Amino acid sequence: MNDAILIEGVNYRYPDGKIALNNINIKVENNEAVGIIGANGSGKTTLLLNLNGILRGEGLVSILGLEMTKTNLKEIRSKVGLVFQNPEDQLFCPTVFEDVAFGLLNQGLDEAEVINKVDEILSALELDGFKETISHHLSAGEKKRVALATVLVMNPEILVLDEPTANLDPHSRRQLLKILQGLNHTKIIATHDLELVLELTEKTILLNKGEIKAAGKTKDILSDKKLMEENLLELPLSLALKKH
Amino acid sequence: MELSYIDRYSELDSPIHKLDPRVKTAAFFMYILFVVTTLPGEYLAYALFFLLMLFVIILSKVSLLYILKRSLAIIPFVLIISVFLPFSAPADRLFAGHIKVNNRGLELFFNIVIKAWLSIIAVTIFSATTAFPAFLKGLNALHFPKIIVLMLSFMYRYSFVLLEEVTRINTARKSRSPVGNTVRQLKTVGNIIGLLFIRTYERGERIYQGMLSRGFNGEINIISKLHIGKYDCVFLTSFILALVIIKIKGAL
Repeated sequence: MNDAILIEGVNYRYPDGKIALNNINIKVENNEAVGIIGANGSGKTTLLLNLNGILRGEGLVSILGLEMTKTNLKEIRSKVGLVFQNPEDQLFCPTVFEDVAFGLLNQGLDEAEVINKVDEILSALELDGFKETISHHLSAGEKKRVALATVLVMNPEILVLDEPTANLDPHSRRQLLKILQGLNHTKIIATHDLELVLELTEKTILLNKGEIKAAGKTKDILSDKKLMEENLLELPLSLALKKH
Repeated sequence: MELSYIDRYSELDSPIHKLDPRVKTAAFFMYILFVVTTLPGEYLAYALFFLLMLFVIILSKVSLLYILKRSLAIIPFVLIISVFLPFSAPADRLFAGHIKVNNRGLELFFNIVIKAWLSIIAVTIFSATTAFPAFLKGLNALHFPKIIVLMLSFMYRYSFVLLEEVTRINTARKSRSPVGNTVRQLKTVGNIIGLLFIRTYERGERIYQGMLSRGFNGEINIISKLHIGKYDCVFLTSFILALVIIKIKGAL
């Protein structure tokens, strides 16, 4: 059985020469949920964009046994579903239906099948009735769920989420969290929301300035006060309170 | 939202809203074609064209005042182009008592303004009664180049996002410079335009990444499930018939 994600010795430089990722090694098994934490500019998003070949650095990136090469790109992108931080970037079509259908149409499915699948995923994410809605009429929470739908509808094996709970009110955040909990995909979640990492993931990778500073069990890393503060983070409130 | 007028009346239910976007596009395109090919001086035809539009407006349930107001917005541009026509040839008559003008030029001037206004009324009714996404589906079904349909759809989607961005930047500017001299403000506006360009450019890159992530390979696929019914056919036939009658009557 292949690992879901295998990354060995990956380096990535921005076009201006600045180092964004430095010697990254990651192994993620199937159906694992892994959190990626780190301060602003630590390379979280850059790392995520390396997972489906939007950005490509030096080193080995292998997804479900497929090495990241030009020929494998199409297959890899259909297996890795990437949800961007800002839904305004992800939802670029006039209506919800068109946005959710976009990926399916690129996969070459016929119309009837596309319509079926869109209906299915919308109702699974409690978005019935939003099909013909114009995207800018959605609330932040709805936009986020539609963004998730645009990716889930393509039936990816690995779900990559960039700041899934950013800008959400507590209710919408909880709603999204429940949805994510219900999905048994391999999940990679980059976020500042440490409580979310605690709830959703077993393993965590801590990035700082493009380097992995720590990797291991989520509870161990997030409760290590010294480690967290050295890397410009802090203990999640729930863990900090428990200690007193 | 300032841009909300785009969709302000598009959710109404009326005989005009119900039309298939393709039929509407064809009907209004024909109308404009008939209007612009009307010979100068056929004022009866112009009057009849206006009545036809009035009839369509009443059918559409859109406020007449709204259509007239919006249609006037284009008039200044038309005036700029055409206002010199009466003076472009040697004067041979007086207009309004004491302005020396060329008669043929004056007639052309009136014709251009009337044609432009009649056409823009049609465009205004069209845009008020058609939701933009439906219009795009219509264009696609009419085999309009897909790349242009896609561009229009981006334009529609992001005009709202961009406007929100401008509003936010402007609020930030206002809260830091309640009063200032005009020259300084102009400079700030310049900066804001630059900032907006950079942000839009970066957003464009992120959107493209989003498209690639969902398997975009340069080929544009659009589903446009539309249905032309009996009602659409009846409307289109009688509308074109009316245009032809106006053309014949006006020429008499």
